[in-house]
Amino acid sequence: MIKNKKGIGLEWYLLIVAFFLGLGFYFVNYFGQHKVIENYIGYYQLSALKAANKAESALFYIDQSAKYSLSQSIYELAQNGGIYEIDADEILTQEPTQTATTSDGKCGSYYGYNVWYELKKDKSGNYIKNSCFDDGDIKLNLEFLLNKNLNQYLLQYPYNLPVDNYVYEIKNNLEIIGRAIEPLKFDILKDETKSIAKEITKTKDGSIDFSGTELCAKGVKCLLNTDAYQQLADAEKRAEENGFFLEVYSAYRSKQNQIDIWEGKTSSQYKQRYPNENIRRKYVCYPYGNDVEKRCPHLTGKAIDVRLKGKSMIQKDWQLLKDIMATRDKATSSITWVKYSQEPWHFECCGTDRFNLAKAKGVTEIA
Amino acid sequence: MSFKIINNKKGIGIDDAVPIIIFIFVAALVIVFIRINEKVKHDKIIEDIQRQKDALEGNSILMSYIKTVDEHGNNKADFISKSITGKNYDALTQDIKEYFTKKGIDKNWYVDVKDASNNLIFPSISDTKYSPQEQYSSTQTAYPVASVVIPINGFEPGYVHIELYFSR
Repeated sequence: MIKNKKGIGLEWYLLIVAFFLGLGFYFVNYFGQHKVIENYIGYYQLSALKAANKAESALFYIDQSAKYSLSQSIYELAQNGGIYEIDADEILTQEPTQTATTSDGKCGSYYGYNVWYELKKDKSGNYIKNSCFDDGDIKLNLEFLLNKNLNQYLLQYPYNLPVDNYVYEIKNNLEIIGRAIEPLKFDILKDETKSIAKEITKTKDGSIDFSGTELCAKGVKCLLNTDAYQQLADAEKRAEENGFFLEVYSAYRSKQNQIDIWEGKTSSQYKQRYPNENIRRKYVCYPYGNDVEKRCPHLTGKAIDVRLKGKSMIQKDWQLLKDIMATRDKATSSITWVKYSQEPWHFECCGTDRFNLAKAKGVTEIA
Repeated sequence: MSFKIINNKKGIGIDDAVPIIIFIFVAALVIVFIRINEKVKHDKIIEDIQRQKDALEGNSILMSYIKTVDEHGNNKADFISKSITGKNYDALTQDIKEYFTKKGIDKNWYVDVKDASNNLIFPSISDTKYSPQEQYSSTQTAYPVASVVIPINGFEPGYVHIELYFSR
């Protein structure tokens, strides 16, 4: 036998080739794009239950906060004889207009105490008792205070809870029912253990939307003019250099927002509290007319209500905020923000009437 | 001339067997790889399901604790708030320990009470079997199962986190 070659049959070679083809196919499928669902049966159901747990925890927090807020509100109201003098410092959605310290008491106060009744002599010399105190006002004042105090708690909560979200109803003696305007929303599949910091976005009209960022208070829609946002970002840098963080809780408001506030459609209930328009104008910017943007600076997107994050904002904190915000740019010496002297939380920039007036006078604070 | 071949056996040489040996070896390796891969995936899923189950159980235990109401109508959240503002940490520690021990949780557990900055207000409260240090220096792994935020009724609104951890 010449040139006799040993060998295996062709079927073996085909088998080996087929095997490696199969192996290659498996790996291509394994590592390639495929429709494998990265979870298991029951994953979504468990996630839904987990979200329900979060909701339960949030609802408990709200209930508990409401309880504390109510007792605090009653205490504060009682301290002032049932009359609440608006201190816009504590109002999240109020439009700054004039100084807001006028007493709501119809008969004024006597040595600091609000008068409930007054006696007046009529023409015949008889004394006539005049009631200065309306029970309906107490309810409105209590609702207002309760909402204000509850908002403070809601803003503290580590996840987003909407503020000014309740319509209150006082029943019998002191049973208060708060009906939510918007439902609480929880993502079922989003992993909330990771920090989800939203990025700023530009709206169609060129405004900067920084809602959900560290600069904007939770549950608040934050929109600003581009220049104003840049000034705010610079102010935030100055705050961080001093070991603080800014928190904007009111920025741009649409005309409709302003009308809603004026018409008492928000939890502040200005219309109900101040049916007389002339008195209401002391607290809320009048939202009608062609010059509304001039009178209501929040409508320009160049005004903010801001505070230092995590601070109780007592006198020294407001001073600190002013030092950070209303300062001159180091490089250009130009005025950055102008503080409205009546309201330590309100700042304007970038060409509002108040800003231009302050600039002309060379000051950083103006009435 | 004639001859006869007897007992002639057909066969292949060692060089012919090499591809088959390699084939079998590679096939075995691939099968082992696939099995291990599947096992790891499977174990991960089982672990994940177990943790989700623990989270539900833990949440139920934690929520029932803070919702427990005493004879005066105050719940445990009120007690926690009061203890934190009054810095009465010993009573709070004791109360939490008693409650969770009574619950007879079949795993090692510990509870952290943290402030808004996520710092521990006082040392972790754990079951008596292990201290947290012993639990986590070993091969056992701790994982969070439930957390609740409790408002503090103080001069300034604030809150604390109560976090429950299990470990195996």
